[in-house]
Amino acid sequence: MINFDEEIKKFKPSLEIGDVESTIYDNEMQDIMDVMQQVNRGQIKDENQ
Amino acid sequence: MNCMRCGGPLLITGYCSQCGLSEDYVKKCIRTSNYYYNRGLDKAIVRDLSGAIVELKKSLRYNKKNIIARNLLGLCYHEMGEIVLALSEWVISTHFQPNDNEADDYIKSIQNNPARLDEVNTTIRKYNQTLTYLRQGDYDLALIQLKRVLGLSPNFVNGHLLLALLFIKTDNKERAKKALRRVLRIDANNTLALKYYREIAGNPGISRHAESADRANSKRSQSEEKDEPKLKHREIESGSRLSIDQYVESSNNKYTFIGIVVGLLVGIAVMYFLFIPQKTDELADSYDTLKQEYNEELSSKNKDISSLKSDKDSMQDSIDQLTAELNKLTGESSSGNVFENIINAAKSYIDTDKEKCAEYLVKVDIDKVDSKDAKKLYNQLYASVMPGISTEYYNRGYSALMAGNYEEALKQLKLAVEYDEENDNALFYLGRTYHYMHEDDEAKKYYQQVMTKFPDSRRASQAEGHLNELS
Repeated sequence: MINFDEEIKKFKPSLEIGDVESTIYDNEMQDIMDVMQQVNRGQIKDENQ
Repeated sequence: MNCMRCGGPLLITGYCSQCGLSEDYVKKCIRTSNYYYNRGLDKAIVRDLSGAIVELKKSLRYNKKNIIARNLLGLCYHEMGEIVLALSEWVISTHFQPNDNEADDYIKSIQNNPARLDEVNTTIRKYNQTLTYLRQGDYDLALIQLKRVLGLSPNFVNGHLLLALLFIKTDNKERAKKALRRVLRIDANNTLALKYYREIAGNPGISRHAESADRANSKRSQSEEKDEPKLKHREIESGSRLSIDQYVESSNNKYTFIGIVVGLLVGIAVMYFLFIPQKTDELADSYDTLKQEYNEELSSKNKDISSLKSDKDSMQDSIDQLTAELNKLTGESSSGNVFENIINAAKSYIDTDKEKCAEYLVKVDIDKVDSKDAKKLYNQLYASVMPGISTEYYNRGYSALMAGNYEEALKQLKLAVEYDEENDNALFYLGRTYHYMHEDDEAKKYYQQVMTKFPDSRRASQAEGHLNELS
């Protein structure tokens, strides 16, 4: 049975055109290669230390 | 060789001198990203947009610079009515590849159309307002607002889902199903839509619905997406670049225009069928009333006129009667004062002017004279003058007749008869004159008068003889 109030909560307010910039900044821009790069850099740092 | 990720030179060890990543590792990431892109593309082609979005997000997780995957993700968002999310993806896409990027065209197609931008903003605001109404329990207001939203953005999946939910809440299952079918035509495997549909129709409905969604998809491709999509895919092969037809103006404007035209036509029809006949009836009633009033007034005036005419006639009769009485009392006639005529006749007689005396005497109507003396004087004058003067006129008339002057003869003989009605000669020769003039009817009249008035006279037998000639 559908719980109307619960279902309504799933719907979030839509973003307006002016919110495009903040959406871009909030976008998770890291991919796996970025993560690997960070890991490599961390390893190199550790080796240097 | 250069690194496929950052473009830096590769070391002999197979690692990039700039980013430090292994070439094999980078290649593997790119291949995996492409794999998910292909999966996303396949799903997008069969309009499983939500599934495509999941796959494309995975693709970008492996390679954030996969431009075609990001552009396709934007397109999927756009197709589901999520314009802001679509724009975000395209902006990021152009950030990574500023040149030769189709996302640039997509952005321009929206940004260069202020009406479209305004429409998008309005849609979003109304949708958010709808959510507020729903949370406050104002379902009627929410329904009205939601219909406006879907009027502006017919492909807005969340709007349709919300509408379906609202119909389910108000126990209007058929309309809810209709809204859900609409969602599934846009996004064939939308999880929420399928869930709601199952709740309404039961489990068997899922398979049926899936079939109907498939049918809708095939129908959609055949009818070239008559009313929903704004961006259309070309045939896309796995691994190839995404290509998108140019932006098509929302058909919503067309519907708005048609709505205005239909509204105008309905308005004109209402005016023609309701307003004008009513006004015409009112004018006709007004005209009839005026006509009736005018006729009544005319009838009244005619009555007055006939009454006045009747009064005038009776007044004229009274005037004539009174005038006649007055004339009788004063002794005047058409010939003038009788006494004056008698006096003048006497004066002429004294002056031995018998003709003048006769003229005055003829004018007198002796019956209107009450004075005995006047009557006596009149009778004496008449007896002494008239026979003589009559004879004199007769002689003149006879001479004229003998001379062949008939006109003069008639004039003199008529005077002779007028002055003395007993002058049978004058009467006889009047008949003779007309006889000579071939006016037989007049001649017969005088002959008969002679025979009637003087039956024993010589002139009567002569007249009879002449009358026989004429018969």
